[in-house]
Amino acid sequence: MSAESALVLEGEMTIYTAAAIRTQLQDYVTGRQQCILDLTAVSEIDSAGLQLLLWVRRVAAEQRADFQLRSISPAVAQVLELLQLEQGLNLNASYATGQQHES
Amino acid sequence: MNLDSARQAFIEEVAELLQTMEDALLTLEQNPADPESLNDVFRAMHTIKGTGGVFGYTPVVDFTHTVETLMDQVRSGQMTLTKPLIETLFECRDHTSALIDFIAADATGDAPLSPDLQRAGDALLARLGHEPPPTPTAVPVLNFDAPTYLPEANDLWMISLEFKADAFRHGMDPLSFLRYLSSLGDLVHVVTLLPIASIDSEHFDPESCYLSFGIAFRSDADKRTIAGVFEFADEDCEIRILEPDSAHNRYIDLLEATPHDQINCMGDLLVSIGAITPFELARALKIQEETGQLLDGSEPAAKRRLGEILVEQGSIKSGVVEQAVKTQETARGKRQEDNRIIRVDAQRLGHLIDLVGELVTSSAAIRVMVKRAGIDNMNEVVDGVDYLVSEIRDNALQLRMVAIGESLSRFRRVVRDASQELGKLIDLVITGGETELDKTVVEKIIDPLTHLIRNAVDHGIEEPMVRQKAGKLTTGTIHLNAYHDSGHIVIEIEDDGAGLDAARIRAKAEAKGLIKPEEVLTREETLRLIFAPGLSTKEQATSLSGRGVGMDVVRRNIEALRGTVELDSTLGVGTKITIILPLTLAIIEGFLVGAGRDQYVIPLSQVAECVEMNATATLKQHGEHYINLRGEVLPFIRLTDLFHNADWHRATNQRESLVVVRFGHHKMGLVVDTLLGELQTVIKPLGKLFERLRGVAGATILGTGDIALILDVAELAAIGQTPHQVTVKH
Repeated sequence: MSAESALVLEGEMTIYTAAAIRTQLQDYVTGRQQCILDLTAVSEIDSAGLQLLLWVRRVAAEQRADFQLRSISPAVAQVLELLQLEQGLNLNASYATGQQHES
Repeated sequence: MNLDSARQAFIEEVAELLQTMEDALLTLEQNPADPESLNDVFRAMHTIKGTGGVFGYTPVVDFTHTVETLMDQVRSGQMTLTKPLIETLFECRDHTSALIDFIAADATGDAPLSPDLQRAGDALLARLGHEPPPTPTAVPVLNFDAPTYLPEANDLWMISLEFKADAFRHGMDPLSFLRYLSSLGDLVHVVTLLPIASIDSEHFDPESCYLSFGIAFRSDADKRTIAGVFEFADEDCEIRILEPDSAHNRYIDLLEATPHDQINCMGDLLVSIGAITPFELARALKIQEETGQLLDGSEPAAKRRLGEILVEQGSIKSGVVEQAVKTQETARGKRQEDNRIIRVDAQRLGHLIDLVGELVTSSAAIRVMVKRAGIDNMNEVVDGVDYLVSEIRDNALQLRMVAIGESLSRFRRVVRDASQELGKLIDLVITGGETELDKTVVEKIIDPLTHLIRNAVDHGIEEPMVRQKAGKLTTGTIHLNAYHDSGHIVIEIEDDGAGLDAARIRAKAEAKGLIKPEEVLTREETLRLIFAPGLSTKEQATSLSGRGVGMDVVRRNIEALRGTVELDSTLGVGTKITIILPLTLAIIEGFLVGAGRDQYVIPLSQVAECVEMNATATLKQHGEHYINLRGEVLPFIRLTDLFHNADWHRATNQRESLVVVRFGHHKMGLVVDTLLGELQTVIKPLGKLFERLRGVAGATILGTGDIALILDVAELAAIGQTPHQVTVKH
């Protein structure tokens, strides 16, 4: 699918924006074959934001859609590295190579 | 809690532990593999470390920790106990003692360690660390910098976090805990879960937390530290922390080594070694309580075991619990023993004994009053009270009695150190350690004894070569013996050394002007000269003794305890010093006699017999000062002559009595007017004014309110043997 179908999230992905982002994600993912997120512009992410990512991945999985993080901001990268979630959230391989960790 | 008294208790406990450690080390010197002694040394260091830690005495903790670690290796066979190592351990013991002294002297408790102590400690630790590996399998590496008590965990901690729905609303950010955790070690593997049954939009609330994490964590931190990360999440998170296998083994070791007196219950035990956290304990206890209540209705007896719950909750592995149960059980048995002993403030005991003394005096007064009032049927009651009072007195005095053995065993170290310094081979044999005497007497006799034993090591026992030439065993023996003898304790110090040279003592005493050349002295008197001030026979003073200030001080100290010291020595064969002390300083059984206008108390234990003075069948008077008692010549003193208090109203032809007293090997007679019978005598010291009075040990208050002097038989004997009878020293 083309790049246009990616959802670009901006600004905070925190408990304060969780409700709004959830609506955004729900609207985006419904009926899609591919769920591609672009988190380059996410300035901050907390546990609630992370939980939303995990949630939307599951929603996508339940409707058998592909899930991919196309690109992420340093703030998101840091959290994914901590939780070793780069592969789990299917982070763009070219991105993930820079984020080595032991596992 | 009063911190000062806690500190005092700590200092006393350490002193005891160090004594145990010393005894164990002395045993190890003979038998380096003795497991009980190895354990004792380990346990001493371990307990001091633990208690020191409670008080925050970091230098003590750091130092003892290293020694403990080393002992642990020795115990487990990774390291062999060599002679130099034992030597170093002795020094470690002494250094620990020095550290504690430093703490004891420091009122605030937080002064930095003096540089000298620091250096000494560092040097010792370095020596422990650089001990050459005696066997190829030895592991001499000690990590001195390690601040934690747990060994490095080679495998992984398993941590599971299940956050509750309200976590976000309570301001929790689970990620921040993980970030903090990552600062303590390495998050080897993290599994993030979103365990929601349904992802329906109705059921998923983005502001509720559904997250849970499974973490494999590598860290050197102990469980308390790790659990501390999640301290504030307790309310909003199910936390489980499972220790790695290495720590698991360590817990089991710790459980085995936990001093049994510190165990209260299983939970506290596990918390104390860091196997579970206080929160985990609280949670499990709550469950125990709840299930206990639940079961109450159907199956009242079954309250679930705490260990089961802890294992089920994933707080701990079952092996640790099993060991904890074992330790807890042995502790119960042990504590029952410990409970038989209660520590009591010596001052309280002293006060009790004072009161008992007053009680004795009062009950004597009652007896006198009853007699005077002539109420016959009161006698039985008074007898009953008297009996009880004497029982109370005996029991109260018994409270202060301690076996002397513990104090004597410290001389093993004295002899060991002194003989090493002088290159002599000496065995110290201690017998009669179970002999009991008043604790205050024990404390005061230790110094004189130390001096006498050092003398024996220094002057008595010869060098191995000299002994060999003299046809003796190269190893000399000092025999320390204690036993009870008629209300006294006798302590003998006997060595098979060179003995005292009477001729040399005499020459020295003459040179120092202590005696005149024309004076005639018996051998015994000559030997006793070494107790005179300023006389030392050894030409060269050593660091141990021989400065000539010793023996007179020894004698004075012993005499201050109403004791005497006797000396016997044969040149080339050995010396035997006998110290005779009263068992207690407070109350004695006395024998009341009247002489002239006054009454006197003679310690009953020293009364051999009483005879009528003019019963000519058994007695023949020889001149003024000697009497023949059944063929035995006995010196005697007439008390009225001695104290110049003859009662002129008394008929001159009234009969007198002779009280035969004995002291040590000596016997003598005291001529008195009347025999008044036994009396429980509370000894009151005489004032400074009467200090120089000879022949009087103290005074006591009689039931009538009168005062009677307590006679010092030993001094009377000395007076009786010299022709000039004087009551005051010139």
